[in-house]
Order: sequence, then structure tokens, then C-alpha cells
Amino acid sequence: MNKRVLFLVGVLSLSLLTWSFAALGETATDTADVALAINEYVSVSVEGDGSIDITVNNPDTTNSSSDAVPFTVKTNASQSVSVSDNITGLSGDLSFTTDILDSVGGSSTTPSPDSVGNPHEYALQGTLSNISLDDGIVNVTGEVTITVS
Amino acid sequence: MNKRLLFLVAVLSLSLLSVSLAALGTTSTTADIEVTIAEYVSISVSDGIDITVENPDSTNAASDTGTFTVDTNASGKTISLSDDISWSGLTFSTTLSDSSVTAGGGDTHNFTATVSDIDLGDGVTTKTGEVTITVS
Repeated sequence: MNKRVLFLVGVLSLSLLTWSFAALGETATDTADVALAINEYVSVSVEGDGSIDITVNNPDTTNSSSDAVPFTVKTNASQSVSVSDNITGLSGDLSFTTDILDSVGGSSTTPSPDSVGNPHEYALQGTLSNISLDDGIVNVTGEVTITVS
Repeated sequence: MNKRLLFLVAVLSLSLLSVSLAALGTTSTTADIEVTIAEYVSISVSDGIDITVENPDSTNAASDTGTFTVDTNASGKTISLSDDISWSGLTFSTTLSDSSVTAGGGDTHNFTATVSDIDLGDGVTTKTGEVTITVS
């Protein structure tokens, strides 16, 4: 009798085990490739009034005069900043030069490659020098191009 | 004598007929038949994830949608997603359009992968990884 009970318990256990495995069912997996690219980005924008405006009221006592305009560089890569201008036609010994400053009123230094991440504030300063009475009355306009590369 | 002979011939004929009829006889037995169509499930990814960010200054998050097809003959299956992606400074997440599976062929699903916390500090970046899709 005990053997019969044991046999029945054994059969029942095996049946439950089989059912449990069946309940687990089939599983399938597959993978999807993921690719992310953040491309190089750079922007430069002139702030403030966006212009360099040099007005000399007394050329007898003024040898040079400057004005600066801030500009902002945003980039996710190391860059260099350079400027060029198209100012021509200055009379006499007048000369126009540009400098890149770390900020308006900052030291006149050529910036190292811009740091990645936070926007970098610069200033573009234009200077008119060798001013004298011999230059006469002058009105010259032009553009300074800021290049970040 | 002829009658005896005829009788013997008749008896012999009947015996042979009986044997012949017995040989024709009908009998039957059975063979068990068992047909099993096992549970089947497969996944096929048709489109992966490809995210390109052109302006990380104004783009905080970017997404792309992938497509996969589930073929199964079972009901009650569910879909789950996992990934091995851990990108410093960036957050990666996935969402599934529909986690339930319809038995039959060509049950198409979409999943969306999103990269967030993008900023200029991430630099110029190329990263890869995998999303694992499981149907169970």
C-alpha cells in the first residue's frame, strides 16, 4: 500500500514538474544596434550693439582711439579664433588694427583654442592710431570678420 | 463408390472453401497518432537606432525609433527591452510602443530610444551600444 502511495506521489510530482517546464515557455531575443553621433558644432555671435564705433572729437590731442564689441563663441570642440577686416582708404598715417580680448576691457591677448563646453565670452577691439590733424576729416566704414575654426 | 467419391470431393471442396473464406477474413487494430506543434517564437529587428545631433547647444534630447517583428504561435507573450548602454554625461532610455504580442505572423512593433542631457560639454562624440529585445 505504501509503495502504491509512493508511486502515485512520484507520478504526480513528475507531472507537475513537466507542467512547470511547459509553463516557462519559449523565449526569443534579438538585439538592435544603437549609434549616437554628436557632430562638431561651433557658433559665433556678436553681442551688444554689434559694432565698433570710433569717433575722434579732438585729433590734436588724440593719438589713438579704440572701441570694443563683445562676441560669444559656443562650441563642443577645440577651436581657434581669428579676425580680419576690410578697412581701406585711411588717409595719412592712420592705421586700423584689431585685437581679440578675453572680455571687454580685458587684456589684449590672442586666445588659446577655445575650451569645450561653456560659452566663451570674447571682445573684439578696434583701434585707430597715428591720428593727427593732417588726416583731415575722415569717415570710413567697413567690416571685421570673426572666424572660429 | 461414385457417391462416396463425390461425397469426399464435396467435403474436400467445402473444407478448401472454408479455408479460403477464413483466409479472406477481416481483422483490425489501432495505431496511436500524436501530433505536436511546439511553442514557437522569434524576433527579427528591421531598424536599429541612429541618432545624430547637429547642434548640441540647442538640442537637449534626441530620439529615434526602431522596428522589429515578432512571429509566434503562442498567446500571452510579452516584450521587454534592456540595454548595455552607459554613456558618461548622457542619459539613454528606451520605451516600447506595445508590450503585448499577437499570435500569428508579422506582429510589428516599434521602440523609441532617447538620448538626453546633451550639451556642449559632451564634445564631439560617437558612441555605440545594443538594445536587447526579449519576448517571453
